[in-house]
Amino acid sequence: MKRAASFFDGVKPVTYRWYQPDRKVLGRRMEDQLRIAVCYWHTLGGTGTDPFGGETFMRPWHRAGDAMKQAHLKADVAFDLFERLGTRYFTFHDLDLAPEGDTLRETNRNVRRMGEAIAKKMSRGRVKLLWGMANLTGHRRYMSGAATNPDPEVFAYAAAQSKNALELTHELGGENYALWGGREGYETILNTDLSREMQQLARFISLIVEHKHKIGFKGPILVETKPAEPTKHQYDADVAAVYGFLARHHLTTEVKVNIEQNHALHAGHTFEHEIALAQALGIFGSLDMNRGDELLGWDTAQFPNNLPHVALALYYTLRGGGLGAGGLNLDAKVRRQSIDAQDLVTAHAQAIDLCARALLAAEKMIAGGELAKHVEARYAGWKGKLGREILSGKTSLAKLAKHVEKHDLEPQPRSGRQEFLESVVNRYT
Amino acid sequence: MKKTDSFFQQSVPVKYKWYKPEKKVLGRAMADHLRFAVCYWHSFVWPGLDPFGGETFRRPWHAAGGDPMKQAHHKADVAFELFRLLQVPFFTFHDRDIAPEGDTLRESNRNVRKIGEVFEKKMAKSGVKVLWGTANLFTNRRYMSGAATNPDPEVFAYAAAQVKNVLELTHELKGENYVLWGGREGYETLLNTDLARELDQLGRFLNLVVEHKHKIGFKGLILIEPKPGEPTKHQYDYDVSTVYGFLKRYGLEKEVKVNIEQNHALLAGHTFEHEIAMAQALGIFGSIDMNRGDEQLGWDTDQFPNNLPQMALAMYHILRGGGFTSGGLNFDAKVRRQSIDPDDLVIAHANAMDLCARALLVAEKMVSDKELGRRVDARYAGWKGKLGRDILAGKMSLDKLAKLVEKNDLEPQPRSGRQEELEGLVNKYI
Repeated sequence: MKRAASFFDGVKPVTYRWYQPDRKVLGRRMEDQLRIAVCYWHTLGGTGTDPFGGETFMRPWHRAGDAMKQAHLKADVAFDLFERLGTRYFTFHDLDLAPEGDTLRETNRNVRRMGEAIAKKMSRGRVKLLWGMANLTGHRRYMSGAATNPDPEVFAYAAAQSKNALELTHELGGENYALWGGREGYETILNTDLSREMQQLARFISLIVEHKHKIGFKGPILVETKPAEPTKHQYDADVAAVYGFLARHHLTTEVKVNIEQNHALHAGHTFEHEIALAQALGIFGSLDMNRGDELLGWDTAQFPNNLPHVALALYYTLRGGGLGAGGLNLDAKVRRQSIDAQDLVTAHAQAIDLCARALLAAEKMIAGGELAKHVEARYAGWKGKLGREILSGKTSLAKLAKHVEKHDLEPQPRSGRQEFLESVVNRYT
Repeated sequence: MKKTDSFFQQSVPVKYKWYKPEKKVLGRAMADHLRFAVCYWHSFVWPGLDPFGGETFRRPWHAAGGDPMKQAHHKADVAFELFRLLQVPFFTFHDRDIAPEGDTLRESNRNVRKIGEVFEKKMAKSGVKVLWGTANLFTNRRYMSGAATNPDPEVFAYAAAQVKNVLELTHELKGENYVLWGGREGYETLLNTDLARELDQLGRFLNLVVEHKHKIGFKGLILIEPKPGEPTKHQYDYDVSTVYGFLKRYGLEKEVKVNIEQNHALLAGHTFEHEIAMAQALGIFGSIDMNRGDEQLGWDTDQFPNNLPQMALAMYHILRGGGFTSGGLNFDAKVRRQSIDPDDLVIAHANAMDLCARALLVAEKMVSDKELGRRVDARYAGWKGKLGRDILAGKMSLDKLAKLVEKNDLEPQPRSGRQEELEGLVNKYI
């Protein structure tokens, strides 16, 4: 661990103001409510490039040299960071961990070797794996899609790569397995058979589910929604689109969603909308906690820092029963100009503290009961005889028409009280 | 030229359906109206990367381990081969597109000049000219916090020295304009930014470029390319109006004009023709980066233009404003990441050139028919009368106008803007 320690030399020790892992929040330890994870790709894999500029970070493990040695150095730094932050979970893509080889066999072997190194590190501490996934987006073979590629050999390659990543996730005791379809979409419908591609994607996910059962992996399979970027249109556009897709292919009981704040904004939704919708549809799985820029149209993946926004997201998460096997994965990156080791630590620590503070605000929202009470009161009529009969299918248009006529119903509009409710939220933050 | 012969499958110049360089349009050769340029960066430098994936194109001159200067020569061979296939009269470049960065600025500038000499020979032989040159002040990490707007004045100095070299090279190559795009002249967060100071720094930088232009006798236009964001969160050259205000503040509105890009106009929430008409109204119209953004995506997709009605309207407004002087239509456009064949480059440019030519012919009809212009004139006809002239000439006060209304019992009646009819009229020409 000597080399790893040197990367964070001179970095100030992390202190939290709000994050107290053992503090009880709604009957559970704060750490168990938040289940915070550090992601490998932005945090360790990020180089600071953007579409108009090159590397700015100059991490020691990105220097030219023996790729496997660099991967070990990266893992040392990763676990050093987890320890400094006191975080319980991490997440990875296969190719974040280890370099790609000349063949898939070699690539998978590299990934497995790093898996062994990581297993040792995990056994020494209390760090666990929230989820693993396969990178089916970076390499040029996937430029026209992985599962949705016009070439079935690419599908087969992606399946073989996913098998390895799923099995590694299982062996490392991972609590979920995630899929993100960054190339499962199209650039122009002029060269695309949309209907066929969606069938291919469904087949792919079904294969993952079948293999999960075959190897005895108990965690949920997660699909991460995103409407576009890198491609023009992605099939997993948002929670509603994924639900329809899963329902069409009989996968709603097998697959859940991993919801990212920035992706929700891209799809024209608030984060809490996507969370509440996933819960309503029974497919809520996990959260990628970050922050998009409402005025920009690309994935800025910033660290969360808006207290009211995060508090509302956690309020809806708690209302739906909490994170379950999911977690809060900080799928966030430091800005291109934040090139110091200190920036990495500060960004994570502040985000964790903010999430903790937001959790306490959400706890108050739940405990205060006022927000929920107003929503319940708004729909109170539906608990009466009329409401129950309508929803249980006991009425017809004719019966309802007669009912209105007989009682001379003249329902009066009632205020939605949005401004009042907004001020209630601010009282808690 | 042997290497280049093998890069493209196509070896004979493109046959165009609409683009006839010599064809007269409104009294001027089509080629002189359109002044097409191929850009070096997207066509020969971009390897097919995007934020989620690596290189897909595998251009031979990007092969790992190659000698960078040899590769720069190879790239130039292929570039001039493409210009020949397309019969395109101009090209555009950044210094870093054409030659590798060295260990020092001295070495970088020397590399750039060496390739500049290669260009000179190729240009003499082919007749292809430089529409504009520009310095890449955004890729290297030294510029991550800005070039002119960097908190460190040494970065400003470095950028100035780099620009001096490119401006002089552009001048020596008889380039017709010099461009500045401020991709890093903006900020990520106000929390670490002194906005007022950065604007002053940018104003100073631009003044230095203008002073040097006069010093060396460069006659072309200095052009600023507006863009509201990307890569940074907020860029100072946001749009045409913003740039105009900036130029006024720093006394440069007579020295500097704008290079307007379609995709950047969309990102700023404007139509392309709005930005063109605005620049003409403000007297700072310079040149065009011809491409196509995606209205539903929030980043620079830089596709090749292919929407005839939109392009025709842009050309119409360019013609209405008198057309180009030293500007031109630069294809700041890239083939998609999946379009990995060499000839995709030829096809994309050729289709775009043909589309622009076709749009020019449509715009010619719009201008010659005069109906669109007449409708607008008629809408403002009242302003040609005494009242309108007196108001604009400053001969009226609120008092006088109030008296006039009272005396004549003015009761102006609203008249239809007739937008639907005008939109139908546009489609009639297409």
